[in-house]
Amino acid sequence: MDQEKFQEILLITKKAFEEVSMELLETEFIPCQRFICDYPYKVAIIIGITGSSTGRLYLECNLETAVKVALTMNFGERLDEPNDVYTYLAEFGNMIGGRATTYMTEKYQKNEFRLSPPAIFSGKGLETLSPNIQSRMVYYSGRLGRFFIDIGFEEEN
Amino acid sequence: MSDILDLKEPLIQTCEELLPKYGINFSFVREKTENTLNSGEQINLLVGLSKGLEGNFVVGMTRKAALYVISGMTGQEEFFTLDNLARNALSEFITILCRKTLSKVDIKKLVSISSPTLITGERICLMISKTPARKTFFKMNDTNFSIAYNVEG
Amino acid sequence: MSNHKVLVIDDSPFIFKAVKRALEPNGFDVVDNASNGKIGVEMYDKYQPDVITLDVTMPIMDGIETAKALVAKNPDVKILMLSAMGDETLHNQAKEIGVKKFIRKPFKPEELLEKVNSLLGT
Repeated sequence: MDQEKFQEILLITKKAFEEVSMELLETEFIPCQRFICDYPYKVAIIIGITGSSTGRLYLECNLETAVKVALTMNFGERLDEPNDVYTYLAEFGNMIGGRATTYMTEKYQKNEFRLSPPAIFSGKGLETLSPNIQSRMVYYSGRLGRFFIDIGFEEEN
Repeated sequence: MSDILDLKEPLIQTCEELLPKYGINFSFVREKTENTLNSGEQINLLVGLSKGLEGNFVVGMTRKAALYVISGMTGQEEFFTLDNLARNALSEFITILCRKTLSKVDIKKLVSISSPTLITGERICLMISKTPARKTFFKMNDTNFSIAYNVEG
Repeated sequence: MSNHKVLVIDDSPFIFKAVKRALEPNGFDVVDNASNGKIGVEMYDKYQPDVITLDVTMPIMDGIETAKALVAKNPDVKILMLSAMGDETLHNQAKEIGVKKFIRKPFKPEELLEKVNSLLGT
């Protein structure tokens, strides 16, 4: 992918994350310096990307932050079920993806970005790898914790 | 109306065609409908689908199962870390598996498959859809692997 | 005077809660939540709501198909369509079917209230 376009997509993704976080969680996440994601338990939102390029959008936080996000989305009330953390995170991811897609469509053209439904993974020592992906990362910090976002596209031959 | 696809038979047929080529003996064990949140394996491969079909497709395998696949595809006898070769092999595996499976379903539209993501860890839980996903279990040589999916067309 | 009835058709429990919190303190009765369009159409018959909030992306029966089915039952049905994407093609398609209002997720409670009141002409 053209580097300028990639940078533009990263900016759009950042904008989508920042806006949705503010609107949904009333929380400002601010880009920060790279941090080591050595949490014992991580939660990841993975959204597949197709369209003019193929890739994926990846958001990661620790379990504590994920629970705080879910509780905030639940208006501070206790979750009905522990599994609701995943449901709420999927909705969060869906809104970020949707917002980014809207901006992509406005900037480029229809179907520049198509997204698959979010998949949520959690685990101890969670590690993710995407072969043959050229990716850009951004680190965020806010009242609810820290997020790491990675957007990547397959390298063109 | 969109239908949640039943991919059990296409998956079995695909495995019958594909796995023996990698020198892998396999057998279908069962399929069940899982809760929206279910447990993952040591090594999980995820692809997302969009356009003609929407959803997620996850292959879950033990380290041993992954070795069989990698070995069958690359000739590499052992691996200690998932190096580039191993990762590429596993990515290729899920892409081929997914495409071949979907080619057996009567879909009149083009389906786009996202880049594969490899997820490893312990005590993995995953949610690939808001509605219950189906999970198909197979025996692979002396170990197991599974394919969880929730795909709508 | 009875409250206006609102039916939520959305597979997200969060949206159901958000709609309830936005509308119930303002005199609305949010009667139920359908997790897909098929159930939504059945619930429409049961509750005869004054307003429906309708998600676009749902399993089994998506928002567009659901809107078609609801408009077929009642051409004056008042639908507020919710989407995470601001897709103009989708909006145009929905307008042609008879959907009158749209709101992007996430929404502020006052935004939702304003749109619902606008639909009801209040």
